[in-house]
Amino acid sequence: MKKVILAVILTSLIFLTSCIPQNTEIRYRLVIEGIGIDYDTENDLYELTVQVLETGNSDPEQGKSSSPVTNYTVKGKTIAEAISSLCENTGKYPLYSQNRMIILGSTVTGERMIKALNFFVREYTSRPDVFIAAAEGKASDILTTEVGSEVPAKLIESEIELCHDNSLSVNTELYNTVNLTLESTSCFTLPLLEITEDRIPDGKTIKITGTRACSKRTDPLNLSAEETQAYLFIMNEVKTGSLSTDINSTTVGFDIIESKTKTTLSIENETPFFLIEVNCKVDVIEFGADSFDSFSQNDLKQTETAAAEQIAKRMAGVLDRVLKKEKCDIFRFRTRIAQKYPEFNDKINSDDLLSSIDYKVRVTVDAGRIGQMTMR
Amino acid sequence: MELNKKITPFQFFTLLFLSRVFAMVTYIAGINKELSTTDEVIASAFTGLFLFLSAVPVVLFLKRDNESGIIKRASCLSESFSKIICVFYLIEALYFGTITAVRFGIFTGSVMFPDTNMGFFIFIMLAASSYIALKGIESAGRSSVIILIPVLFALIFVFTTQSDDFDLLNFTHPFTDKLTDIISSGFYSASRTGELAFIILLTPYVKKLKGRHIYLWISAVTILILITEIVLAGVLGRFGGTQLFSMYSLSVLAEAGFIERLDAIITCIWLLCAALKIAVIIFVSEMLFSSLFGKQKRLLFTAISCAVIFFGSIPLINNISGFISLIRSPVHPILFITGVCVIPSVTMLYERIKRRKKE
Repeated sequence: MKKVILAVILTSLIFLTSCIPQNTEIRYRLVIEGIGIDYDTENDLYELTVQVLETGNSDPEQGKSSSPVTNYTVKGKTIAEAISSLCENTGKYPLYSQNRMIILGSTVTGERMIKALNFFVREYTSRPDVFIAAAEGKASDILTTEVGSEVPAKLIESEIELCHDNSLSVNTELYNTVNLTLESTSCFTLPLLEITEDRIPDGKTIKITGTRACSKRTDPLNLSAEETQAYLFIMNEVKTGSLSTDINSTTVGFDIIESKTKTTLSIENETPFFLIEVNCKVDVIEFGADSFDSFSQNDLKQTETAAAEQIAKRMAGVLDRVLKKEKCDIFRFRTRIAQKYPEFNDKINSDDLLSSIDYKVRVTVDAGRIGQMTMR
Repeated sequence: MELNKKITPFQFFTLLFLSRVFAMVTYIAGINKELSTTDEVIASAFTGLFLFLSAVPVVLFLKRDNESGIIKRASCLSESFSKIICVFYLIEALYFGTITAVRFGIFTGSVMFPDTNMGFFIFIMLAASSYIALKGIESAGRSSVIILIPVLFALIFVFTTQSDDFDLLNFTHPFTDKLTDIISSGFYSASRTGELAFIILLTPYVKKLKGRHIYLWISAVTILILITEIVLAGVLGRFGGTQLFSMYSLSVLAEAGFIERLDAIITCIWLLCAALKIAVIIFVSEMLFSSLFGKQKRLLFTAISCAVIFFGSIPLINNISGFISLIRSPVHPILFITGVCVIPSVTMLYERIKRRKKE
């Protein structure tokens, strides 16, 4: 009998759900999908564009193609202050666990950026795998771009993932950024977003145009799409993707099937020397010759050599520019040195060490398939 | 509590293993001196070493008699000696119970339900754990074997799905920190294994307890701690040090294909470990109260144990710096060393002296 009474009491708890405070109900929460952070340099305030999912009030019978999100703009001395004013304005509590993106405007750099991200590291409900991206211009412009019935933040997230899988973009999550910032010897990279008008007929779209290299101390540095791919090759982050190269005025298109990069560090003449070896497997998907002749063994060899040379050239180019010229260690070279040779720890943060680093790039390309063409 | 209802060593050590799992997943970064990532892994190896060393007196103690617990054996020597031991272990159990409750409260009140009353969650957990404790060690032992399956599944899922994010560059050069700091971190981590002292207290409830069972359990705990530290270092790097519960952050990142955002389920599985851990502590406290007062008033002693843990944890959950100071203080290692090494050794010595006198 006691058990029955206990079971009845426990079951009756289900009828008390309406006693739960309102702030836990989804319609009383601001379900954040994306946050754009800009800095108002005139008033010294952070300007936040908060993209919130519409959780109620949608009326499909009206036939309006209303946006699934609402964008709020708030300002504050800190991120917390800005978010707090958003709560005051809307009367709702923020929910960060659905947040997909944090976009940093071009005014949010250096220490200002670290301070902004600090909030998301400490906020309990913010996920460590939220994507971080940089905007060419204002973050608010990126986040408020009209993209039809899609959630802009979700679309950007998908685009970053897709571009990363195709070796066109870096893929940076909050915990990577924080980790590299704490490392102090390295810079970190963010996908660079830009609004373009060249994709769809009536409207704008958001495109990943390259990479932004950032650090706490140095000014941001932008990498082009080609440099981004070369950087991904160096960091062993190339999964798949496409590549094209010219051989004797013929353009050959490849699909990257697999790529592996091995970086070996040694000390030569008391200076660090990096040997970067890339082994890339490709499929020839297009051979832009003016006839449909069969593919010769010689053509294939030439193609492989040309592709290898092109990748090596791009890799050397990005190393020369970013590491030597701009003194920005996005390759974690100093981390590798500190890891293997602690005797360099005294000068690990000096620019002289970066200047003294020597490297060699060695690329081999193997073509696995040549499409439907026969081999001569 | 019936003595004839003994559990198997597997059930017993599964219970203790799950209890240690909870201590591991609710490890609060910043409690020990912050070490570089590789040195954290080395410190975990030292943890294993310290556990093996500190288990030696326990193993020797069981070698002589693996049927009676330390309380019974002490009472055969001297009633007052037995009472002193009882009081010490009672303090130790209630202290570890309070610390566990606070960890649980901070965990639920921060990452699970932020801005909510942590005391409420502790109260609910204590009620659930008391129920388990009152059902006896047998039901707890049986439940632990069932719970072990989802716990292992959760741990394997968290560890194996992070391979893409595992970066060897997150590891620092070994021994970047001072060796003394690494050893002290390893020792502090070992001293969190209060379960080692429970072995000699709960011996009467376990069938044919052997030294090899203890070493197998320590090996399992050490392997788990080592794997956790390696994955934490390789995936989160220094970010782990910024998080209140780095293991929770790691579980948030775990995803495989379309299976993602399982952290809520994984967290619930860990809470089962918390319930078992607190249940074991309450069971031990109730047993010690009974031995101390010579009465079998299970409900009353369970209620007293819960009340002490609850009212002990309330001031600490509202004062995290005070809690961290307490954890950092020598109280933890002193209780551990005394309970695991000193008391069994003294008891064995006392037994030997008494035997010689008889001879």
